[in-house]
Amino acid sequence: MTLLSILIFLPSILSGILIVHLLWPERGWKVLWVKVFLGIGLGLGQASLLDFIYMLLFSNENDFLFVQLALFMGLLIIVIVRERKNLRIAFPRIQLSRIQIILLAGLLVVMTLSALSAINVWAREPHGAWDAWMMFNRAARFIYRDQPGWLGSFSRQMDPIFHADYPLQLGMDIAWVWQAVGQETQRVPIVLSGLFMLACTGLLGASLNLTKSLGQASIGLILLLGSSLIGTEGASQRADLPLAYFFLSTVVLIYLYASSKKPGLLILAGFMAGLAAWTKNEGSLFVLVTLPALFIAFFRQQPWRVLGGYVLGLVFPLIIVLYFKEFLAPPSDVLSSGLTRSIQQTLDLSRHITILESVGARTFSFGGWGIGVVPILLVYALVFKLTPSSDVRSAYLAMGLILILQALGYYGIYLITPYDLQWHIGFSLGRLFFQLYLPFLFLFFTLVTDAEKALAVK
Amino acid sequence: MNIRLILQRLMLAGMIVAGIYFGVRNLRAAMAIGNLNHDPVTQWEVRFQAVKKLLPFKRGVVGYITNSDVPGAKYDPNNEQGEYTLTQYSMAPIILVRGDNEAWTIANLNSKAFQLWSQSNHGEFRVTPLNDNLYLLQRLTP
Repeated sequence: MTLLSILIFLPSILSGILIVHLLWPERGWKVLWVKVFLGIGLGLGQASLLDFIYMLLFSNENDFLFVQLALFMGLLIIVIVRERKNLRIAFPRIQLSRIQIILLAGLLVVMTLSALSAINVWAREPHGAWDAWMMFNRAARFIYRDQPGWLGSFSRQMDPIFHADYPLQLGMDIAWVWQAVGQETQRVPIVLSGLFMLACTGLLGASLNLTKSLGQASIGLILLLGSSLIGTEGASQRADLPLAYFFLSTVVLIYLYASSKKPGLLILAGFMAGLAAWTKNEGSLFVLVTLPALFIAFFRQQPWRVLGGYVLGLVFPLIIVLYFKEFLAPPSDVLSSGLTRSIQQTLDLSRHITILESVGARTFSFGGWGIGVVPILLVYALVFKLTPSSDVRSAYLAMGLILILQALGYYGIYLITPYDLQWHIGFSLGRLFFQLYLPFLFLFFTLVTDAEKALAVK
Repeated sequence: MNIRLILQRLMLAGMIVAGIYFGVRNLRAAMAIGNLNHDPVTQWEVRFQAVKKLLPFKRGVVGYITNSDVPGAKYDPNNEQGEYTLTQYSMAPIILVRGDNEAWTIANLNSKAFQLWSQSNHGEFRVTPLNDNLYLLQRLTP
């Protein structure tokens, strides 16, 4: 069943890779890996969006797999026609330095341990962690178990604790593969979480390998996989890892745009940000913060043109999200305090102190490396030195602004939350850190000197 | 060899060792999660299979009461929400709402709580007792 689930996801993933290639026709092996890992998420995202439309139109039918197969075949023909003169495959000559071999060997061990952790979590919690089954797998069940009546899943009678207002990225993907498989098996959400883990890890590694070096990618991945964030948190089937993946994809694509000025990259960045909004409510905040961040960062480089490309990619997923929010989803509980109470809470100094204390404590403990990853990175930056490239200054600014504005948005939500603040922070702060951690890691390792260069080993 | 170079090498070596150390620690923590042969979510689902079979519809709204809804009955507040969410997950696409105001209600009551509740039920519900402290209540009076 696991293999069958992977096979059913495959046309969607391949379509994603082809879409990335059509919008970013750059060639080369390093680029190819970035495309593959971008394509996994984009493929899963487009399948979820299209299945939402399919279910609105044909909720009695079970043929969405054929829609995905047709999409894949169509894209494949377009790519073959476009690339027929360039269909040469030249395998790269791999020459690794001693430091790269050592780092890759270390990474291999860490990666294996992380994979074993994930397998253990899946075997022991096949339905996922609390939030996973309560929100995302529950949503998938509501869609799959009574397809003709699936819109009843968003009834106002549903208790707000189940978050029926949450977007349907994971729920739709799980439900349509259950339909294709013909049975409700936990292997599907497990495979889906595994694909996002692979995409997340792969994208961070491939993008650092492309923009910096193989050694840099290996260190970034050792830091990420050495924590429990991928192996345990990712395997828990919650939406935070897919969301972090879409955040990472967006900032990687913005960085690549800043260095190459290929407009297709901006369209892809916009689409990925839209998929973040289709994954979790925090993704909608992300969409909002990326717009001013891009405008400011590219202020001297035709900002309206930059925003135009980005919005072009954003528009399709955003229309789906807005339709869902406007016409189907029950109101969000987090924003239910009302204006007067929200203002009162915002003016309450003790709330600010509580949030700042929690954020401060978490900053120096987050990352699963005992003393927290921030002090480690500070020392790393001192030892290896920051060497930002002046060519991509606008990308650094955009990424920094996105991270700061997103964090401020989370801060604001804590201020106005209708829930007990201490409970809300305890319940969610670690996961909010995790969402921002991946793009932060990418930003950090693009700023810091390559390990190979620092050690002057060619 | 300058000091910075030594520090850089030490830093990289330290990160590899720490990555492996914490990787092992995380694996051991993952192996301590739950029990391979005893998944509480799956078990909870099995418990509710009979209720699903007896309900006359696949999608709709059903009431849900527990010990905490019965005056005088003892209950563990820590379990209340967990059991409610597990029940909702198991019963999907039925929507569970707290209370017994619907035409059908699932009662998740221990024997003492059920006795107490029965004393206040003056022919308002037809009660179908099921396995494992579960009862399906059909409202007879509007």
